[in-house]
Amino acid sequence: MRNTLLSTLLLFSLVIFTSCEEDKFDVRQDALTEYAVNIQGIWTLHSLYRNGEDLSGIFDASSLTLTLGDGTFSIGSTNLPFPTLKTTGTPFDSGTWSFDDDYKPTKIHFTDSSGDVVTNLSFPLYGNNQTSLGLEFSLGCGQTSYMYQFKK
Amino acid sequence: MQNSKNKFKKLLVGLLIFPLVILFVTACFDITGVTQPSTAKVGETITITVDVNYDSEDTDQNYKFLIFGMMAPKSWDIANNAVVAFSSSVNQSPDRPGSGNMIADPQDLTFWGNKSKGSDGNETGNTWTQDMNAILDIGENYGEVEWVAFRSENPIDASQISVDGTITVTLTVGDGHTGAQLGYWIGSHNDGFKQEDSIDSSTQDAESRFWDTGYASINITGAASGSTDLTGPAPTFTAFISPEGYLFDDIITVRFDAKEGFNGANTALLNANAVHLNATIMLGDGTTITKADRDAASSMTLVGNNIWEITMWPPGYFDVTAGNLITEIHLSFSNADGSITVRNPGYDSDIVFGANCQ
Repeated sequence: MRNTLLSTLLLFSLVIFTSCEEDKFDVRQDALTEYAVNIQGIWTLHSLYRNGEDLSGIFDASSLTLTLGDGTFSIGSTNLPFPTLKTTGTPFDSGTWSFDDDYKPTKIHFTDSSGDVVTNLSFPLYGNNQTSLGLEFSLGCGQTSYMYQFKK
Repeated sequence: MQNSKNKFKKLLVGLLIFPLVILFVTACFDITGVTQPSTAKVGETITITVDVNYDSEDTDQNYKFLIFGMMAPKSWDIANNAVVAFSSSVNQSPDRPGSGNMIADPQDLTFWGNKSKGSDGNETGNTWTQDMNAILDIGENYGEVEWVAFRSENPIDASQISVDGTITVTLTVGDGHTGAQLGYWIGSHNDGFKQEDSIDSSTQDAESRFWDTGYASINITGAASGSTDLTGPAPTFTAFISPEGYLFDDIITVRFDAKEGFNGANTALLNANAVHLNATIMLGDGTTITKADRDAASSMTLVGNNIWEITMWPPGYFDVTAGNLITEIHLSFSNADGSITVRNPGYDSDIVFGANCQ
């Protein structure tokens, strides 16, 4: 009986001892900091797809440039469509832009006084130093979608 | 012997008179007028009246079913969508009145009233609807229409009379077309499609007093994009626009097949060394922009056996000013020096496409 009691006390003390052990992890504090995604710069269209069909060879894709500044955007002169250039609305080739989420964006809003055009991002963006930017959108007919891939 | 001679005379007279009896045991139908809206909107319920003059030609016409036919776009599904009734002042037998409802062809050939009769007046073994589509023409429509028969619910006693009556059709305008010519047919189960002149009996448009037809055109508003005017040129395989669903804000690809000419023949651009697109766009403000310069921008690419393509973003290609909507594109195709131009085969007009987005 005494042995059983001693064994129980010993086990309990071990549990208490383990629980009180201090955790030590080697984690850099700045690694837990979220950075706002930065895509400012001049982007040039590299490839374009219509319903998955590569049309890059048909058009001079590089003729389309997208300049993203600190909250402002502009599109270079082009014979290619862009979500803000639809004739079914009031087209605009400059205005302001913003992410739906500055840290984990999935959409870009292109805005001017005539409206807000929302475009999906083709792939996730993180932090700084972006070299690729993918946009997915339709131009009014939901049956047909486009994917633009820009490069810096 | 004398008795036998008298019997022979009676038989001879009977044989001579019999064809005359057959000839005059007839009834005459005439469509005297059709009242239908000149314009209607998709989804709108419209009423159409067809005025009919009927003459029994001094014969007994009892237990006769009235047969009415209507031709309309197939997409309207009038067999299930139209409500048809007839009215007249005839009321010689209250249980067989000259007014009442008409039912869509039951297509049950076990019932005598549903058996169609052909140009010789004999049963064809077909339903009324089948024979209407086999015998009657489709007016000015290029296709995509159907005749549907309606039969009076009950037989009629229309003996020894001449009377004006009215067929009333109520239906909901269907989608798919911006214009059509509607058709109407009136007759009876007794004579069906019988022709008066056996020589003309094989001719669709041969006159017959046993039945009559009438046609009237209608414009349809509110139709979905891609709808066609059935009274206009038929769709062609000569040119095609992809993707399947597009607005003119989309990047479109125009395909021209030089092998798809009139009635299966080749076009005049078969084996051409170069093909250029000539195109005119219609804008929402009523103006047009044409590009038919046979320049580098309009040059098409050979992508298959006499198949040429050009891909463009129309607002950029035509330099459309901001906010101006493109409603149609009209196409033709030329060789390098413009000496040959292919338009819509069978028509002296461009090939027309509207936006096509469901």
